Amino acid sequence: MMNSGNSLLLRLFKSEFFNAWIAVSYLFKYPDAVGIQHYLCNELKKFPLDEIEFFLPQLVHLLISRPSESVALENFILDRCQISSHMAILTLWYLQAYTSDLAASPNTPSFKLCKRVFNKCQAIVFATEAPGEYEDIFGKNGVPKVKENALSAMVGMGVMLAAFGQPLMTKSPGQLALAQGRRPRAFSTAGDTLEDAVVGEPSTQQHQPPHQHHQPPQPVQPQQPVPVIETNHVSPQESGRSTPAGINITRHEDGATSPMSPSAEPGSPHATIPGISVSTAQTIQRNHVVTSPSLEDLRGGQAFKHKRDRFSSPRYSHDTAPSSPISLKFSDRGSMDGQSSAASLELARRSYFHSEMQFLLALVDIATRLVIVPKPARLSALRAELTLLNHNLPAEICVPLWCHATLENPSHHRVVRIPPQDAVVLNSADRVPYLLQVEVLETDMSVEEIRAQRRDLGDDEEEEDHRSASRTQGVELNENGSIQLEATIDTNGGSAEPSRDASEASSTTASESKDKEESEEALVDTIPNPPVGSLAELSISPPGSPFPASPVITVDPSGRMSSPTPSSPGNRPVTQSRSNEAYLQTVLRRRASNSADDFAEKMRTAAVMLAQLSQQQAAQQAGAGANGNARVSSQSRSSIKAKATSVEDIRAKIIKEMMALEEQRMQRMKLEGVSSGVGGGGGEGAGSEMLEDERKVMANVTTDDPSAAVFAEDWDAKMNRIRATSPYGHLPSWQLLSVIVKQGADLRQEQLACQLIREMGWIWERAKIDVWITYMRILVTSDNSGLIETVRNTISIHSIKKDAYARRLNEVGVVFTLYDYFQQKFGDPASEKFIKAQDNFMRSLAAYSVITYVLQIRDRHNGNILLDTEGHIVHIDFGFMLSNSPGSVGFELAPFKLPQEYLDVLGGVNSEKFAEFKVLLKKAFMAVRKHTENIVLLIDMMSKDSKLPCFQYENAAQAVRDRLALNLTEVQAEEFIEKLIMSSCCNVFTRLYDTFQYYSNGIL
Amino acid sequence: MGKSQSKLSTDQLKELQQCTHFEKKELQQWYKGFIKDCPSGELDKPEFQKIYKQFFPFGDPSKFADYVFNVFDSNKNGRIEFKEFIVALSVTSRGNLEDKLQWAFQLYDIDNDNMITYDEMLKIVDAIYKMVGTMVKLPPDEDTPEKRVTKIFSLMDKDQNGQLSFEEFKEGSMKDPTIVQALSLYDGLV
Repeated sequence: MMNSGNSLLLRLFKSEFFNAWIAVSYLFKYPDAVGIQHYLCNELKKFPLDEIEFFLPQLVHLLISRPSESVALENFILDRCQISSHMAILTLWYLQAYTSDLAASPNTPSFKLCKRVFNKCQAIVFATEAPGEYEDIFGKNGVPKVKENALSAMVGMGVMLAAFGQPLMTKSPGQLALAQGRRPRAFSTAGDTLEDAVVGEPSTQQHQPPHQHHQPPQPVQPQQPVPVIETNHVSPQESGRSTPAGINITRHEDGATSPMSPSAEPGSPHATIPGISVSTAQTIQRNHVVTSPSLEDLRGGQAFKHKRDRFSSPRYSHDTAPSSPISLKFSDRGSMDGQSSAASLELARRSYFHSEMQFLLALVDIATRLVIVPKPARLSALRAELTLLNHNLPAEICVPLWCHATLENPSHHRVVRIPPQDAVVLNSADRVPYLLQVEVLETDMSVEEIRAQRRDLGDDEEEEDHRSASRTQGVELNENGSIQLEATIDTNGGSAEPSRDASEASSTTASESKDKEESEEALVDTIPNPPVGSLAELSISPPGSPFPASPVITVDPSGRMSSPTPSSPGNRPVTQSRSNEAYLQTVLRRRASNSADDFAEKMRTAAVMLAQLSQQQAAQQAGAGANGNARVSSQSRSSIKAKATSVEDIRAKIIKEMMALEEQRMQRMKLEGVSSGVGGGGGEGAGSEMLEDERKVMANVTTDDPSAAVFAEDWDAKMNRIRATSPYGHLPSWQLLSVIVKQGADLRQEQLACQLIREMGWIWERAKIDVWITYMRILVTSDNSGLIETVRNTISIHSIKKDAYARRLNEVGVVFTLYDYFQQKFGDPASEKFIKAQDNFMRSLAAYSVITYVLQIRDRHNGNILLDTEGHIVHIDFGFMLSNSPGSVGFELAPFKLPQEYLDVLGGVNSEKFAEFKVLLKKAFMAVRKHTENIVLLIDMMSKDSKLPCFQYENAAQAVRDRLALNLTEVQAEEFIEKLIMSSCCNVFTRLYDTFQYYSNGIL
Repeated sequence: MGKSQSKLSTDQLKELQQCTHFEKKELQQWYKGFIKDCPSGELDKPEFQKIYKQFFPFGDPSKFADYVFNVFDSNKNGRIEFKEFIVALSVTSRGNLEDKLQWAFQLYDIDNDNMITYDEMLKIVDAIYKMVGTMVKLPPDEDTPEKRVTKIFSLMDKDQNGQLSFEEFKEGSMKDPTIVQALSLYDGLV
């Protein structure tokens, strides 16, 4: 009987055993039980936010993958977003990733739900009214009205009837009925909406009159040439994708970000992204569009704060307003204390979110751009980008996950500086992730106060007066910087001509064509055009014009929603009149200063131009394909071809230019010392990205491989060095974070792996099992970008070996093993140092053996296994786990990796240490086995309709259960582990895999 | 109106406008919602119970749901049709307090003789307590249905005849702000 079962359930929920895990697991078990969902979500509100944050990936996945009758989870997540800025941003990014995942099936309930919650979340983040349809219709006291939900209304009325019998029992059921009653209703089926919209019948609204009921007066939709995919009713949601969502939902298949100018007027080609209909909502929200900052903004140091200038700048000070964004408890917007009005705090909050997202976007965009930069110039380009970024710091930006602010202690850290010289490019196959250090202050100080406390470090490249110099640089660069760029630009002008023709041609096709589909295609074709247009603009300015380079520079290099060009026609004369004087001054100043900035800007300009070129090319290729279908004349096709070759020429020139710049820099470095050039890198295990660098021949190791500077500098030394050279280093709350920025990779699987490892770590901690693990924080910012924490003081075993061979530590022909390394690094095996390191190794190996076995983490070659300076082993790179393994090679058959060299470090299979290892591993395994349900829950919740590769083949959760041998008794299970260990020992497949890696990828 | 149709006809609209506080548009919209939730256009007792079980998972709402069903089912044909639903919604969301109390009185007056006996009241209160279960902490003098009913009668049965007339029911309700508040649940929200 269901009811008796459920009253038992209530007893469990009210018992002392009840915790967030139980709550989440029952949320997962009863997704459609409205009452249970509401009860549990209410209970979850009682748990601290960081516990909820831990489950956030699962909760969001549950919400989106299981659209249910209940609105409890949706309300709960949004409620948490209201009170925590971290939660809001994290949620927004997750939802964004899901929007991309689901974009292919926009008619599914999941996609609609995702869009709806995304919009609401966005409204919270940017403090805007929820757009259009989502604007709740408010009744008395601003309480949202209910929608036409008959069932919940019948319950609500019943509750009213019960009022007389026992009014005390009606309160929470009444609220439940209201909450469910507010569930949005979409009466029209998606199918006919779509059809109506495509046909573009204005009569749509006539034969669906009820829709209009709650609608605010809809703007008349002019006969837009835009193929509106959905009707007005849906468009406000859609607009969410193009507004702050524009953050990156609109990507092209090739991964390039789609150029959408915020200044694009509705109906302009810019706005004709398929699936996005232009509506007023877009216009309303335009000023909340988060863009990667433009070069102009970066140079001016305004990139992360321009929003605030526009509003009456809210004051932060200790006594009056809460000094950090999270403390702006947005939940009670009206009741902000005291002097500063709620409104200005609102604005401050919006500005905070805006800066926050812009900052992370800027970081990700750099990785995008680096792909196009030729390898040898990437490091320079990266540092150039970061130098510019630095002008905008300190700013009111925290990095969620790293920031310790909580509701109780709402003090966010502030990003104050990114030392450019300590950033390192990590080349991988086709992406360019990079490692960077971020200086933060754990402080309540305002940005202005921080600036005031900046100490002068003398001849620093980021001098204050230099900042002012850089503001006028727009002019200077044209004169000065374009000396070398001029050639490129001239060619540009020539080449831009045909591309303009192409865009004209396509718009002609569009207007001539009566065929809906064709015009749709043509319009779609114009999407990548803006960069073409901006290059075309170059050709308009006559040769020798004083502003040849400026249009290029001011185009946002990401191509994504570039900011208004400062060199808009209106500005030009002014700039020009100022130019001579300004030029003289800045040149003088420039000569006096170390021109790292100058270099940076030239480098970045070149990178920007490259980015534009490749976008242009992609556009042409897409255009060529589409035109081919439309049977375009061979004439235009040949013009495209001609254009392609000229683009190649330009590209070659730019690259040559960059190389020349790089050479200059190297020269200067020689003259002025290393401080102005490449700093020490490494010291951190950075994951598989290092591989490619490491694949270089050993002879090169010591020369130009930044990651090979293995233990050259340990974390503390590095931190101290950076601290000593930082203008903020003297401040007591100074801290350093080290992260890898990734673009082009979905980090959600890595995140899941780290979450599982973290959970196992907790299980062991609670069980007082003395094993050692570490986990990395992973910040997912979209379905193909994010930040990964680096593991401090580690180096891959591969690098250790490579380094050893390079330095000829062993006689030629003799294998260098981990045991050799331990001896070399920690001394005699009998020494205290060695024994400690050996113990550390053993404790970490026991933990990671269980982890790799339970989670079936594959691809365990030595490039993915790190060793820290204390001897701990650390596994990274979880691209293959649970149900997927590296492609054709299925021979990682050992339960876990336990090669001879590990055994050697432990002292051999007959040693005491090995016996200790076995005991510890058994204990660790048994503890995880006891808490199987936690591990299984995290996996199970993520697996439904998952896009993650680790869920593609089997029932991952069941497989985990199987591996934990739950059907065995304790005694049997211990025997089982014993067998696992023995079959792992020197497993022939492990050796085979390492050999395979050596021959195929050069991994030692 | 038994059969499910996609829209209300003009005649139906006219009729419903007369017996509710809703406008045409609202009626049409609610009708859509009703048909979406009950595609057959009507709801029988088991279905009605099922809804209540969704909302009250930890207790047993079946008895209470049956009593409420009887209030909705004004033509006593064993089914709730749209008209019965929307009339009730009109009273509960836009009616005045007296209207609402009139409507609520029907629940407790099980035999429909315009008087609520102690037994009738106990049946309903018992059903309420069973529905909500142990979710709500109650003061000691109301923590069983019997205690609650005794308290109700001691407060409201002015003539102490062991029955509540509508006047007594009304007066007692208006004196208790928690009842008045509970009765205003949908005010201004529909």
